[in-house]
Amino acid sequence: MQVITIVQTKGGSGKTTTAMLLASAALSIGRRVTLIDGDVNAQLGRWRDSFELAAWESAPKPAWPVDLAVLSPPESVDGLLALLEGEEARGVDLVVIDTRPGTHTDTEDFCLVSDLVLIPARPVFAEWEMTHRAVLWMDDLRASLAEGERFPAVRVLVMDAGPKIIDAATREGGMAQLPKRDQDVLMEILRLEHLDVIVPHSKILEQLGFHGPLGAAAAAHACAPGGRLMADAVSRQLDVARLVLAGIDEVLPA
Amino acid sequence: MNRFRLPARIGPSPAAEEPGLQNSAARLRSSRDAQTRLLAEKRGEIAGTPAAPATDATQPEHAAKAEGKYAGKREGNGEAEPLDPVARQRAAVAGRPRKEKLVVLFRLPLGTEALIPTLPGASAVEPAYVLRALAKAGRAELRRLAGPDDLSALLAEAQAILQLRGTGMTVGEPMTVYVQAAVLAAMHDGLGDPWKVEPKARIVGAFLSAIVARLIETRRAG
Repeated sequence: MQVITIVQTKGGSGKTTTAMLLASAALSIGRRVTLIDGDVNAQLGRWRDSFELAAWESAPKPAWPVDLAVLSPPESVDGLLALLEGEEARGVDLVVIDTRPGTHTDTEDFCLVSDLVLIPARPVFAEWEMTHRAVLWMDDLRASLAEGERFPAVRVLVMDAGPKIIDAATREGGMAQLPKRDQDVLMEILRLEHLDVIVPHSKILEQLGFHGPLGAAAAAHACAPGGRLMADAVSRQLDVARLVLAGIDEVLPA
Repeated sequence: MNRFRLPARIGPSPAAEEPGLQNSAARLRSSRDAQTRLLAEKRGEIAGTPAAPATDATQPEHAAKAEGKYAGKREGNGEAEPLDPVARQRAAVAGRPRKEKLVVLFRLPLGTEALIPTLPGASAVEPAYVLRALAKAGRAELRRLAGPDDLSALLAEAQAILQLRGTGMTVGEPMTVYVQAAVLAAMHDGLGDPWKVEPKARIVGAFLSAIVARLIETRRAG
């Protein structure tokens, strides 16, 4: 079982979105997923609620996947450890823990029981400093452990990138199209240990609460009259999510 | 050994060192209350009935077990449940005295600094390194000060340092320190500044220098 904690000191940086993407990708390839919502605003914890309350008009809404559970964190570290043991015994393949913004001791506990810490980073100047701060925090946390203790792998995931950023990172000569400041930010982020995937900006990302897990949403839209365009858009986003999961599998074999 | 366990720590939690935890418990409570209320209202509208707590009859069976066994709480059950991290943090913060974070200029009287090379073991390392070690120890000592009684031994030295002109001190370096609010008030009082006219950083800086001067004396005495 893979245990992934998503950390970023800044709010609105894509932590919850990343958790939803990972869950969508894992469900679409038949894995069992548990999400633990350690965030203050409980957006992930209410994912099912927002999905069920969303008014789908063009397509019949699919059922919430039985292989996806969304839990709040237990009230103690022992409870968390027992919960993880229980999930592993239950045959869950992936546990994703969403955390709240800022630097908090409970987030550290989540990190320390995980196999991977994922830091979503939007490639904009205002967020670069916070990404750097999150990485430094993880370095400090590693330094606070006794010698020989296991520490999770730490990777940055570039999120919500515009087309110019993607061009800059993937096409020869693309970097020249970016303003100098954005070039610097992108170079700095890519200098950190990162997953080899960039999640592009997409309306689907903003509407994950509406769509629910993407695999089921794409299938539902594909069957509905006139739903092909939406199905394609959701499927493209799901493909990106699968690439992110593949990047994680490289770091952390499933 | 279980696969899931917290590793042994040899240092303090970096997050515990960070300020900014003060209002998260209140933020959590208000956010949860508001969201629970809105959701209940929305469900009430949809069903055409008065808002009522939703049930989790369609949730996977294991989740119900998890709630009982591991005390993990599922969202959407209509109740504002206290989240573990914040409850823990609130309990921890409640028992802790309030502290202030300040950036002070750490500098020593020239006479005191001249004693640093005479410290045992100082010849083996750079003077700047010894100074950093002393600053670290001094900061920890400053943090441990709990009340006016702890200050009495330092008052004379701090007073003397406060009176020194800039040319009688080293250039110094800015340094972040934490000091308990009650101790800070006692420092002002002890140095004859009951109306808190002097900058806090200057007062605390004088005490930090006094602590380090005492540390140097103690180490020289062996």
